[in-house]
Amino acid sequence: MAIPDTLASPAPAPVLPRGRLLPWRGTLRRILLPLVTAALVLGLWEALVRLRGISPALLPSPSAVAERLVATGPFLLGQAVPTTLETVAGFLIALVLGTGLAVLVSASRLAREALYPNVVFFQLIPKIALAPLFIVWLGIGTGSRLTFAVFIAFFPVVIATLAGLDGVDRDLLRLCRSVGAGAWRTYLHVRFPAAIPHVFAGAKIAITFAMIGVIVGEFITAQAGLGYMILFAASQADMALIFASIALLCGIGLGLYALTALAERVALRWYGG
Amino acid sequence: MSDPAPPRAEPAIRVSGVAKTYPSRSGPVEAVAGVSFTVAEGEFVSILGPSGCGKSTLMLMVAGLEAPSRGSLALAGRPVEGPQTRVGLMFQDATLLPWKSVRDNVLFPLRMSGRPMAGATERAGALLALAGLSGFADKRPRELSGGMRQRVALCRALIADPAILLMDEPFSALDAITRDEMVLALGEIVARERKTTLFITHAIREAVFLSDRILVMGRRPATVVAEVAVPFPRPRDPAIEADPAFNALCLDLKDAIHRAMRGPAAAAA
Ligand SMILES: Nc1ncnc2c1ncn2[C@@H]1O[C@H](COP(=O)(O)OP(=O)(O)OP(=O)(O)O)[C@@H](O)[C@H]1O
Ligand SMILES: [Mg+2]
Repeated sequence: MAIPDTLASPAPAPVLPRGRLLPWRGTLRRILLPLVTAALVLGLWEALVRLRGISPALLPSPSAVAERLVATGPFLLGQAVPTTLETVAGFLIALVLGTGLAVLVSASRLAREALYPNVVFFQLIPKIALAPLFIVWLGIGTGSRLTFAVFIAFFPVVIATLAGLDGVDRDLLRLCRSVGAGAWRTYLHVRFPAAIPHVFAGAKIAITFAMIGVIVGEFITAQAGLGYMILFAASQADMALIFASIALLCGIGLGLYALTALAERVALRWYGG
Repeated sequence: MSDPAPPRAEPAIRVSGVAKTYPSRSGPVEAVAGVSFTVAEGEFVSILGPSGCGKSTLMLMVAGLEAPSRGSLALAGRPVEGPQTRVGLMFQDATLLPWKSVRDNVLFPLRMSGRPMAGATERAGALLALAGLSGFADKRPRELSGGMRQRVALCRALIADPAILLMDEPFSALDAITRDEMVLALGEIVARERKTTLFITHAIREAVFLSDRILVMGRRPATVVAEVAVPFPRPRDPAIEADPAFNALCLDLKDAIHRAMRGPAAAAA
């Protein structure tokens, strides 16, 4: 009996990638997909404004905002300088004070019991509500905005750093004690380096919080800066200027976050976990 | 040998009537209750016992990292009060520093103790070679397998040339094949460096293969319920595992542990 043709082993079919229109590499896809989505939303916004004839006093189209951004660019950039400087300064101060307090709390039982519950309390309350107090106490200058930014950015640094300092393996700490290393040496060579990934996790939150603090300060003190520009433009019903200021603010916020994330990458490469 | 060292009266480790009670939320927990034993210089003693019975606590007390609630401990006749710098420690996890190279991890105890040691880097290199890690001195722990990391931890425990090695289940996180390899390497290294060793383990065959003597502990609170001497000379060849006497010892121990598990009263009977 002859074997039917259909049972003879068929030539292997060419393997085709299925379910993919383009042979995207993973990275390209990860970058392109959100960009395309954002572009679609902006396109929709533009179309909506144009087709429905929405008044620019209510909602300017993205193209109108872009135009305004280019037109007022130098002026807005000038306003962005104090905002950026105060954000960076507030962030750096918060980083130093926050890690300092975390070290104190992790090293001293008294400090932990006295301070840490209060740190958690402040971390949980809406700190923005306290902003006017800072203005009353410290006036309407840079000092009060900076202090408020530090106040807001400080808590995530403390909490993240403390988690890192406390999270060091117990056996490793025992090893340090057994070779006769004192508390200071153990901090310097083991606990602090071990906490570095956590410090950066806190720093990434702190940089965005610091900017929030500065903007809120600018809203209240109404002196200069992008926060003030937004407030000013709102009082003039200049929607395009509001959106232009917000766009610039977003760009600066992203840039600062990217710098922090970059520093984190460098640190983590050194850390080698 | 014209000038032999005088016979030392004191054992390398003496544990006398030691007990440890931890405070806890649900009242005090007695982890160790009245344990006494000695380890002679150069001797390899294993402690076998059920999980949670207080073995790690006992080791920490020997190292001076936990204070006993009762009783006393002494190393070479000197009472243990506070952390002992003349012991090398090894734990279940390698606990290496990920940001340091393998070499710097081995040198870590010397750096941390602030006692510079002449030729430390050479010694680290020699230890790494002994542990089969010659080419890895400049690598980071991340680039090593679990077994290799534990070998680095062994080198680190040996770097300051401690009189006593204290090892708390150092191989229990490793796979069976790596583990056999590590047991063999440890047996050779410890015999060559002539270290007094206190070795905690759950593995009966591992204990028999490595030890001069094995102490079996009962359920918590830990007491020594049985003591078994292993008469074969060290270091031992893996072929010894086929020896009927070796296997008889393993069975005896298994039996002793089962009795211990039923409680101290049953074990004493
Ligand atoms: N720091 C501590 N505080 C409170 N209780 C503790 C502490 N360390 C250990 N214990 C308790 O003491 C008992 C003995 O613990 P230990 O770690 O010595 O046991 P073990 O024999 O090493 O266990 P395993 O085989 O699982 O490692 C356990 O019940 C444990 O919960
Ligand atoms: Mg244990």
